[in-house]
Order: sequence, then C-alpha cells, then structure tokens
Amino acid sequence: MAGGASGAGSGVVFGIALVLLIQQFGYLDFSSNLVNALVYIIIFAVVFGIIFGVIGRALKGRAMRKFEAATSSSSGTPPSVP
Amino acid sequence: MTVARRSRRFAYLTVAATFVLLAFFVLSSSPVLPPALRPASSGPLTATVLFDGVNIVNHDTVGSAIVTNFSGAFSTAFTWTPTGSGGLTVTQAEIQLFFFGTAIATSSGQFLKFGANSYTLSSDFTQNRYIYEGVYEIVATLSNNGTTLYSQGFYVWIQATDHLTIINIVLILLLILEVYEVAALGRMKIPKQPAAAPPSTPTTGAPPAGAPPSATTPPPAAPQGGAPPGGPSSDSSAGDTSDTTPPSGGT
Repeated sequence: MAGGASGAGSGVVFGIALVLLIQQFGYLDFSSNLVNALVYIIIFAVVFGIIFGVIGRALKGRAMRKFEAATSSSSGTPPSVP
Repeated sequence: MTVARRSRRFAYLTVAATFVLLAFFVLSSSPVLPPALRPASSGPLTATVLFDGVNIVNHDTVGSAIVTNFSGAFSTAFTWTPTGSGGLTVTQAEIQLFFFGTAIATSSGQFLKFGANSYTLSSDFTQNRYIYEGVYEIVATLSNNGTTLYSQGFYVWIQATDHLTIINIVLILLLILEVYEVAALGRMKIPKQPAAAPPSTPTTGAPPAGAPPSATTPPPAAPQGGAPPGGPSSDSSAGDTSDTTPPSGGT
C-alpha cells in the first residue's frame, strides 16, 4: 500500500517533469493555449502516476516478501551446539 | 521515520509545490485572448512584419515555427499602410513572447514620427538564453496610444546550444530523482541478525589456543583495605572475561 502511494507520487512528478521537458525540446506548444497545456500535464501526471504506482507496489511487495523470508529463516534456525 | 514514509512525504511536497507554481502562473497571468480570438490583422492598417528578415505570415502554426535562438539581438521590421484615406499615426511597436498564455518577455519601442510607415524594433533576449527553449508564440503589435492597430501572432522555435538550459537540467535531475525514488522502494535493508551464540566451552579444560593471558590469569589480589590496582573498572572487566560461566546455556 505504502509502496503504491509512494510510486504514484513519484510518477505524478515524473509525468509533469517529462511533459515539460518534451515542451522544452520543441515537440509540444505550451505558449498560447493554457487549457491545452494543462490537459497535457494532467494526462501525463495521471498516466505516469498509475504506472509508477503499480511498479512501486510490486517492488515494495517483493522487497517485503524477501525481508520476511530472510527474517523468518534466520530466526527459525537454532544455533549449532557442539 | 522510515525511508518509505520520508520518500512519500517528499513526493507529496514536490507535487504540492508543482501545483502551487502552476496556480501562481495561472493566477498571475493577465487575461489574454486565446490565439483563435486574436485578430490576425486589425482594420485600420495592413502591415508586413519581418522577424530577423523572415516574413511572419507563413509561420502561424507550430509546425512552421521560425527557428531561432537568443544568443544575440534580433530585429523585427514593421512596415504598414493605412487601409483608409485618413492618415494613421503609429506610436508603438511591440513584440511579446508567450508561455502558458502569459507574456514572459516583452520588447517595445515608442516613437512619434508623423507620416512614417516603417519601424525596426531591435530586441535582445539574451538574458533568457540559458533559461528556457522550445516553441513559443510571439505576438507583434502596432498601436497608437494604447489602441491596437495591428496584431499578428507567429511561432518561433527557440533552440539552446546543446539544450543547455537551467530548466532542462532541473527537469532531467527531477526525472532521475523520481526514478531513483521508485527504485529505492524495492530495496529494503535486512537488519543483520545478532551473531549466533558461540559454542559453549567446557568449564574444566584447557583454554583455547591464542587466548589472551588475562583470560586465564586471575587478577592480582587486592591489597587489604585499599582499592585494586586497576580500579573498579578492571575488576569488573576481569569478571566479564571469566571463562567459567558460559554466556548462554551449555552443557
């Protein structure tokens, strides 16, 4: 859950930065039509928010599973006694 | 505070800051007519505008933007002809560079020459050459004491050398940071487990090879009525290094 929210937040910022960078490189026009520019920004933010949210959730879940496996395996093994 | 919570808080703050900046842009902008409503040419006169020697008439779409840069001064030559019989006096020529519907750079020249029908406006936006690049709309305007007589918009594609602008650098760093933030979600530090209890040593046996002599040599006897030579700390450390009591159960 936390991984998905963090990833979505990062994805929103990533999308906004990416669309602004595309505009800087001359492939989009944000100069005159403010509504058009905001539509582009919102679309990029939402799309990358969803993508990064899914990625973040998957990564966090995998890390949690690894963590739980590592902790359970180490705590379940008794120390060797000569 | 955990790493995930910190990164999430940072992401929220960044999003909030971005929207605050956008809101600032929107609220601080003066009401500007969208391009579709901007008249290509007003009635009182017809004009020809040359931007750095290029007629702006055929550059009113993004695809036909005039390629330029801000590395030096540029000129905009206005030539006009009144459409009516009465003479018209043009007192100001101006160009405005728009971004998000807001004029972010303006260059204007005021003059008062009766009967004149041309003016060359020299502009210098070199202070912006390391700030931004991209496709922008420029509106060229001729006016008479605030009354717009002619207005025409056209597009320019401002190119920076090697795309080296402050906004590009900041945006690329932001992209890298966000990718790193997401990648960091998949890394979780597994705390090192405490070392397993050492195997118990027999209570009566030879000391292990290489053991320090203090482990086997009993501390010197304290003199009667006085403190031990090493002080209380050495006394306690001697008790810690005793090998007669195993740290954890053993047989």
